[in-house]
Amino acid sequence: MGIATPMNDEREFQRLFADLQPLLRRFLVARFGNEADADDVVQDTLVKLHQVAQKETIENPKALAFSIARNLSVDLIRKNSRAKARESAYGGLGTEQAGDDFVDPRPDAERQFSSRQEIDRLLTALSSLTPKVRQAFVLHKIDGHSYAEVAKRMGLSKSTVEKHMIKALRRLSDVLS
Amino acid sequence: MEVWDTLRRLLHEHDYAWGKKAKNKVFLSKADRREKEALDWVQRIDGDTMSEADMESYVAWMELNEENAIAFRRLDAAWIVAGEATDAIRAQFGPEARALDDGPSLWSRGLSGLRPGWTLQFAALCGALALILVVGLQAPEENTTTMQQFATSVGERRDITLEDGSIVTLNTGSEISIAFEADRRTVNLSRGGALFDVTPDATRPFMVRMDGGAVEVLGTVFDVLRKDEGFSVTVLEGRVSVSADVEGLASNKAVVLAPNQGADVNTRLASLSSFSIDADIATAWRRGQLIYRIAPLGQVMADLNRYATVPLSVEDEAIRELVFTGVLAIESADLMMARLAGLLRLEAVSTEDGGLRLQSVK
Repeated sequence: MGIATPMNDEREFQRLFADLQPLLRRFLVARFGNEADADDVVQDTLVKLHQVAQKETIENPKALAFSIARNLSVDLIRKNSRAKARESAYGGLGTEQAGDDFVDPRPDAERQFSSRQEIDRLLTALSSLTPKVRQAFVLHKIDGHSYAEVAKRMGLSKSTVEKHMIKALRRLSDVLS
Repeated sequence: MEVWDTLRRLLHEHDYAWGKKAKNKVFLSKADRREKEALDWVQRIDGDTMSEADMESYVAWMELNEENAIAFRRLDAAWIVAGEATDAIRAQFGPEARALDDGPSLWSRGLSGLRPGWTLQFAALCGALALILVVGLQAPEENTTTMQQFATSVGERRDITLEDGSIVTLNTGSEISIAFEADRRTVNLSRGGALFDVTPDATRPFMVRMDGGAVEVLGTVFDVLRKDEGFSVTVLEGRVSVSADVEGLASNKAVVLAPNQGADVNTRLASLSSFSIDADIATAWRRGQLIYRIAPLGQVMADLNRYATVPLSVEDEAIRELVFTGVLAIESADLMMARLAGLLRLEAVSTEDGGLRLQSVK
């Protein structure tokens, strides 16, 4: 409460954003592999940061900007992979709707359970893995144990746990594309 | 600890050397190394702990060659999608994953892995979890014998001395429940904010919990304020650990704060940020004051509304963006508004809903 913000000055805000935009954009282009999506997210980040700046004190605007961009890019990657899955499921028919029109308006929790088909494909992919690989994946990614914890529990080296993770994710990415 | 790390590393190398494909494992292939690096970036980005320098090296790594970028994007997408389906995956494979390591490979955990009684504890835990899932309840925090509740009305401030000698100063419109157990002291902050002056007790950590995360200390003075979307913490003395429990944030992220540092957990942005702050000024409310240094009026109004029983507002955006520096005594709403109006050359007028509004002088 009551501590100064440098963000209430509009010019200061613009200067700050101009300062961090190049790296932000490179980060997004790298992550998405395309410029159009990156530019969209840069814009959305600017808007969101601006909204927050008007409402509350931002102590570390740069970190917040990256954090916002990171969350927005996760949403976009999710959306794109869902669109891709739908496209392949419907034999390419859904291409036209798969763009921006397909913004799922439902709350996250509900959305999480909606695409039953997609989840079934993930589960099938996971069940095709060897038990050890699947175990490492579930303990680390799903239950949130660190590599060190998983390694200790499974009697493996950290490096092997990591290899298992890569194997599992590769299998999942096969069903995504 | 260095010795232990070395030993552990040696053991892992041993693991490699005696593995089935020892030769292939000792020297990672180029592709293997690429994928490990890619996965490392995926997780670091997911964890939201990247500094600007990390960001630079990530981008440089991605731009180095197309193979890097492809490996990363593949794992990144899988990681994100799997993260969306965690409930389904846990339901299907969780029990298997947790049970497996009691099986044939137990011996390979060696000297360090085994703990007697672990299996039993774990089975009990699984049972408890299953029960919670079946009943469909969120685990209640209030399951202890000594539960006490305290609350303040809007505008009220109150000191409470707890049984361990810790002092809690409840801010306006706040509510806490306290559960002291043999091995920990837990306070649930369900509304508002409070300043905690905690009596040190190394055997009983002191924890303040609320939606979005928790603050844990041994003995210190710190301030916690709940917000619409998360909470903030300011430390005056000692060290506290702030952990965010927010969906979208990688597991439980935590920061340790020293005096004159603060942290903000935002559940909407799924962020946990820390910063320097003049803690004495930020907690001036306990002396009945609010102190601001170049703060937007919007923020001042948000604070005043926590102390006022009638709605306080401003005329328009332009006024909300005015900058305020000064000290306000926490008093009745009309006195605070009159003082603010005087300092900013505005006027405070009554509104139809019984509240007060700041507007430019007509």
